[in-house]
Amino acid sequence: MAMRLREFIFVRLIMTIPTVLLLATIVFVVMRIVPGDPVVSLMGARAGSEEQIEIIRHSLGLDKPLYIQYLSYIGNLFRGDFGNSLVRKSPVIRELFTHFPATLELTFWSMLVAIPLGIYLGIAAAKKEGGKVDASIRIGTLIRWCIPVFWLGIMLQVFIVLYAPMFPLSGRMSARITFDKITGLYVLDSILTGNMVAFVDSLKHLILPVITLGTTMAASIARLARANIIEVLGEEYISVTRLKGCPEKIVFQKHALPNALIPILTYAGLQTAMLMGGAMLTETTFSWPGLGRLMLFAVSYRDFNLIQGCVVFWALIISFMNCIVDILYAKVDPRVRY
Amino acid sequence: MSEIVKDFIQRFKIAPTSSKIMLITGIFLLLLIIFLNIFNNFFGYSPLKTTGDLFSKPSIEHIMGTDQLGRDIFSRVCYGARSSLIIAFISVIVSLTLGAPIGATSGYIAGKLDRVFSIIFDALYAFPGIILAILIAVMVGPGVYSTSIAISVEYIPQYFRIVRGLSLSLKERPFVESLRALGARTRNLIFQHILIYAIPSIIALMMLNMSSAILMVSGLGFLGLGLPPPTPEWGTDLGRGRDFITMGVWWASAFPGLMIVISVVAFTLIGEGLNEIIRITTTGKKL
Repeated sequence: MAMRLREFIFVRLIMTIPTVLLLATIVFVVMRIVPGDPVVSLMGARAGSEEQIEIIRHSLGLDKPLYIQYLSYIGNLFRGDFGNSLVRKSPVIRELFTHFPATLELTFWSMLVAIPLGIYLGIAAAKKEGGKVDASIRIGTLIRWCIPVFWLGIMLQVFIVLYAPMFPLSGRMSARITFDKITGLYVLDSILTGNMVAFVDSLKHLILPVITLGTTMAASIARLARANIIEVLGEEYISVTRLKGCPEKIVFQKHALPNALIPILTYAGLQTAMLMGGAMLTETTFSWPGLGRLMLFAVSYRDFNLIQGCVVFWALIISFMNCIVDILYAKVDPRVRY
Repeated sequence: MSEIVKDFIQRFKIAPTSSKIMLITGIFLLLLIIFLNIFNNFFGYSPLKTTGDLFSKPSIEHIMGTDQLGRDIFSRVCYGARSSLIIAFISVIVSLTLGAPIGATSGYIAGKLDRVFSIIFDALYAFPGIILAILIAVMVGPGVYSTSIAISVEYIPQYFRIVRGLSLSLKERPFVESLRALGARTRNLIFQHILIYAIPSIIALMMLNMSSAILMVSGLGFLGLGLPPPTPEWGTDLGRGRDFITMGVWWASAFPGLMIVISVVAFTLIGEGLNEIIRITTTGKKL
């Protein structure tokens, strides 16, 4: 069994290569077919002479034929080399790693709120299908699902401005606090260094973004959980269990719930992966220095090395999370074989 | 065509009250937004002209207050429905006209072609819509058509999937087989007989996509990648209003956002209500 599992993981990892390659190719093509010369926009206001532009073009390798550019781009990817950011001049990989912890921290805390809350609401609604509790949870989650994250975020900020001005509006940590970074995950770092002030401050900064992002995710998880549980409860094997005289509580908890929640696992896993690629709107609303804002920065300066880096990094995360979800799936559902 | 309408009316009659309420509330909210947009001029303010009165609080004069340039927010918000709805509508239509016929053909013909299309659209489905939309919006520049196309790419695979699935199951049904035996051409079969059956599910999906497209339009506007000012657009107005919240000016961002929520809720309710009604069989059971 252990061997089979290892083989399964190996095959899954191999299978991620075409997906990542495809995305890398799409972003390469999109970056090349869109109008606008990256070199010209890079030089910005200091519009240089034809020669200067040619020199820069040569130094970036943009004067070579497209297929050579493409091959060297893919070749470099396999060696883990994303090139240098055109605007910030630093290696893309370093930019990605300095921004990733912020995104990871936000994702972790949001999902920590979203998954239990969503599943709890879904169960509560499904148990009383058609009742008042069900109706209010359905209406509540539907409306929450329709509220854009940036609007909710801004309204929370307005509330803070008007009623609790001491509370931080945005960012990850107040500027006046000094502390040592180890992993870049501020909450974890402040625990590791035993810095209580930093710990409280970083948690305070997390509250608004986590409410904003967490409740969005919770709403969609709750809607899915409700639908799944109701569907499973209508299946024949549940009726058979009931006919055999099994108490309703055990029917629900032991027979219906596990089967209904397996698809939620997949969904939550994919959503986590999506968030880890950077929640652009939430990060922008709260000036959260994560991958989403890095991506926006890259796009607005047409820094194509950085854009390609962000997208490929994102694809890697998605594939990795997919792999983990598949393995978990096989663990919790005995019908699935490797 | 009239059969589909008759069938729908029959289903609507036996549908549970909750789906009826959803559908009717949704349609009501949508009509309200369209009404406010059309009769905007009768409320006395222009969405573009300044009243000379900056940041005035919501009052009887300006029920939603005025913004940083002294423009009446109520008038801007009513007018803003136009750009959001038009962009969302164009993008949904574009993805429908690309996704549905390819899906129908792919499912009907099956074989290798079907597999190739499925792989391509699955890859597109996996690509994050907002990243693609931002890339296209920045590179092509702001505008109604570029924004619509940027958004539409995300929905093409959805129509492909739903129509392909229907086409796969329909082609084995006796009426399609008998038409084929009578010598109907494949093209006519797909466009006149199979796609017609997909219309109810397509409409439900279109409504749900309208709601997510409106969210996307306003998201792009919020990031400053939407329509160029001074065109009133909910997301853009909201993003600009955000700069003034520390001064306590909440109305400049609150009301555009409220309109986004109302219109998204409207389309979601219509879509979900339709979906539930379609899934009922005429004997009153869910399929």
